[in-house]
Amino acid sequence: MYIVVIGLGEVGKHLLGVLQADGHDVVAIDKNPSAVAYAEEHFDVACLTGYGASQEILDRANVKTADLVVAVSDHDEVNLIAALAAKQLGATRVVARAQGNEWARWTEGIRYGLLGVDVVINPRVLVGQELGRVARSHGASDVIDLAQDRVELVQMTMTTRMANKPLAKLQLPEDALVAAYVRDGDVVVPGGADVLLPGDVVYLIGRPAAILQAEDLFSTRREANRVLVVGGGVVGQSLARQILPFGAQVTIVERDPEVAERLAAEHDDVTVVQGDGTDGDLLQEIEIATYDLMAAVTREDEINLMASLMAKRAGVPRTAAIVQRADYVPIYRQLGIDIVLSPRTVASDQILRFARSGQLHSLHVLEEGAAEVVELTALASCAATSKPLRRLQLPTGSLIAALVRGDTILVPGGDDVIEPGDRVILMTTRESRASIERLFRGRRGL
Amino acid sequence: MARQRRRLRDFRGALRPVGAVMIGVGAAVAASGLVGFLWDLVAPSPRIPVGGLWPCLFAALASVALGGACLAASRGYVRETMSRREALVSVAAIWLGAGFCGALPFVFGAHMSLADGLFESISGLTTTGATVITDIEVRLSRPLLLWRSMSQWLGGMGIVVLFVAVFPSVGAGAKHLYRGEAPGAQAEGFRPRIAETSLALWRLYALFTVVETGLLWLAGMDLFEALCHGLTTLSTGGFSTRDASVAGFGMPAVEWIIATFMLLGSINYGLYYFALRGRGLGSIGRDPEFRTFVGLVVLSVSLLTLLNMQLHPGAYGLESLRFAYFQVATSVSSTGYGTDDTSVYGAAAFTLVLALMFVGGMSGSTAGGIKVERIVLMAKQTLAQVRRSFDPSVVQVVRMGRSVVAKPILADVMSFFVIYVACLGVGVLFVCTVDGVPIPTAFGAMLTCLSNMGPAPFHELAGFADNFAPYSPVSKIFFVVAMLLGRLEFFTLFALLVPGFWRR
Repeated sequence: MYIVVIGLGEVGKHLLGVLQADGHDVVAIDKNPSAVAYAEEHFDVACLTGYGASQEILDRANVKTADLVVAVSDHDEVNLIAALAAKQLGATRVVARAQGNEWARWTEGIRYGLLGVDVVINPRVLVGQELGRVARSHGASDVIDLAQDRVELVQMTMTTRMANKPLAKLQLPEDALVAAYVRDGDVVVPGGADVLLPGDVVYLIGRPAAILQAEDLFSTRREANRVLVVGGGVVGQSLARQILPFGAQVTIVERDPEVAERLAAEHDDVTVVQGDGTDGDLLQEIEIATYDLMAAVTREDEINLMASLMAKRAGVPRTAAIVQRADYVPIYRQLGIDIVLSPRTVASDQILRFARSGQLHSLHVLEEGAAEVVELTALASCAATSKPLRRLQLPTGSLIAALVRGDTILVPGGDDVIEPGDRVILMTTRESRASIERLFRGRRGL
Repeated sequence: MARQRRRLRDFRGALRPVGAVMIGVGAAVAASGLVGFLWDLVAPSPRIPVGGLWPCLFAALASVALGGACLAASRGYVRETMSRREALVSVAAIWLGAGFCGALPFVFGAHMSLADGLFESISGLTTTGATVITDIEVRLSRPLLLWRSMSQWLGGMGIVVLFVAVFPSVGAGAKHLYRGEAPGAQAEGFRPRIAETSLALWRLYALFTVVETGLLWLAGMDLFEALCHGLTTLSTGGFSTRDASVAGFGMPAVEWIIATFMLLGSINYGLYYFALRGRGLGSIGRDPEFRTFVGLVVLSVSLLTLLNMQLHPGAYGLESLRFAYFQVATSVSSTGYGTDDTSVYGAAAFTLVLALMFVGGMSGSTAGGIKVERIVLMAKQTLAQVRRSFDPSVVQVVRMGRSVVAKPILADVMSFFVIYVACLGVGVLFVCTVDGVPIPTAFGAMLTCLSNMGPAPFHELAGFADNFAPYSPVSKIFFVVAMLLGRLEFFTLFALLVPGFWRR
């Protein structure tokens, strides 16, 4: 694919690395010469220095032949104008990032066709929603909804509970599977004989109800009913909006008096506290130890880190923080913060979905594109239908996670059969993607 | 000592491409051997000596073994992406390693000393085309002739560029490698990924080679010799199968074809690429460097045609034009074929030829020399500096065509020129001291090596024929270094000499 990336901030740079590994032809544009020099130095991509929304630079990048144009600079307006201009010049698909709340009321993280841009992504809203789902889970560190919320993918970290047992011996509920695990940076799609070790990051996939039961195998946590949110920005509001319908009690701590005032006016079911989330006295005053979850979601990494460490010390069972710099995530984990999400990773994971074309429809990309959840429709003429799954020669590194048949969801076992017309949800590593595509390719009549 | 060692960087990972390239050179040597041998069987030629298969196969075997050793040594040290330093070490080692492997067939097959073999091999790979062999027609069999031409062809577009095209590795490492060999700013970036750029370049290059070989064959040349000249023209190398070079054929049509392809080889390959990719031939004509280049060629050809009429009594009109055209093409492209006897040239004609050797072809081409673009930039920059002396407050901008040239690039060009002249000066003194030749002779030899040109002007002053056989082994090795410096455009090799490069 020919891809143009506009803006070489954290998201842009991260995207370059992954797109390069996928073997795409990439042109990167930024107006800051030092960012361009960095990209030149570290990635095998062509670079242009200039204002990403200008006609001239877009022409030079040859966007009219681009399969995908991604506008992810730090300025919403630049991104939208660049995406629109690219679309008009003839780019096949354009994706823009927008993070502010000023020009549109964001309740969805992804909007299609907004102002004529194919996809507009607001990573802050996405991250807020993800935090909300994590708050509802039983101890997961990340929760992703698939297939209109009917399938859930959750990430958990292995403790000593249930470790050192072959997967086949794990008493997982019927409608849940271990989809993948990550050990030493490698993503493995497991077989029944694989053994999980403490410290592994495990991905479970299945029906939401079954996933909750499965989570209980790995963790003793329950869903969070009292949630303290530090930071009343887009992320905090989107988190509150996500969990309030479930009857959770939400307290938002916001430093800026004006913002706090406005928050209180807009959300009458939320307690708004004006003050500093890292102020020990304030935290005492609101009885921080009584909360189930503390989420630090300000724009500043330092405040988020300190607030969650203080909450942890005060005895809050689960702490969550968002972090701008994706490479800080392992450090946060090491410091004992349970849930660490980065809006930038969320944004680039979403964008990567659009860089994966073909018959497979990418639902979610995990571990920087090393593996992904894909969806496809089984054709009558393909090799995968009409035989029990146990006789299907699935490539190693792939796993059938669910079958969507009409309105029902089936998490299949070895005796189940894929019927023509089923939507198949699969977990696959980058390497086995091509074999999956072959397996489900319909035979064309001569 | 132990402390010292710990502070040095570990470059073993850089050996992997070196090993791969050495094995590749071995394969090319073996292929030359086999093709030459089979050609002898099918169509024996009374003019060319027979034999040479076994030396080529031995040399190939040795190269593969050496390459294998390099691969083995690099095991476990190769990092995911190659750093800039590693890439520089790799490029330098690739050229030395390939040069050494390429020397083996000459050492085994033509009874040459190692210094001579190395000179011949590096002269080939760097497309210099200077030779130490005085009697090519007696001494070199078909396998060796073919390898000699092949070495120029491989070196012309660049061994590293070929390596990057054949082994497309992910990441910026390939880019660093590519830049270490061909630091032309224009040839790169016409495909987003460097491996594809390399592949596109090689495709074009191979296409031109095939076309030229075919044309030469149609013009009446023996197919084998047509192939050898095809391989050495586009690479602007200049190795011929005849002692008398292209003049040895005595065929005007051949001379017109070769001269034209030498000029084609000294044009930026990026321009061809874009022209073929839908921008049309007009896009080549709009390139400012191309316009300067054409102007230079036209002017030089006209001047030399006029001078030739005076120099060669009886050679009028078309013949004079042909000599001039060929001489200008061979000099500006730094190929080094000869059709004309330059010893009869007067001061004016000679100065013209020397100046063309200095300038060389366009950036992003296979030609050597300082390159037209650099000369233009230096002239403009100098003019800007002079203007600054009387108009200090006017902002001076150097342009190439319509686009403004960034300050760091100008600084690069200037330091390139300084290094070039310094190397030339130091080299002349060195060769004079070691071999006791007159200064003009040493100057001619150094200029021809640094510009990757080939024949050496002023050799007759020392009583030498037009080749490098009479020099001492020390000087030959020195010339080898000079050729490498010229081909890799100085910075890559000089970086290795800076102490900070090796330290952690």
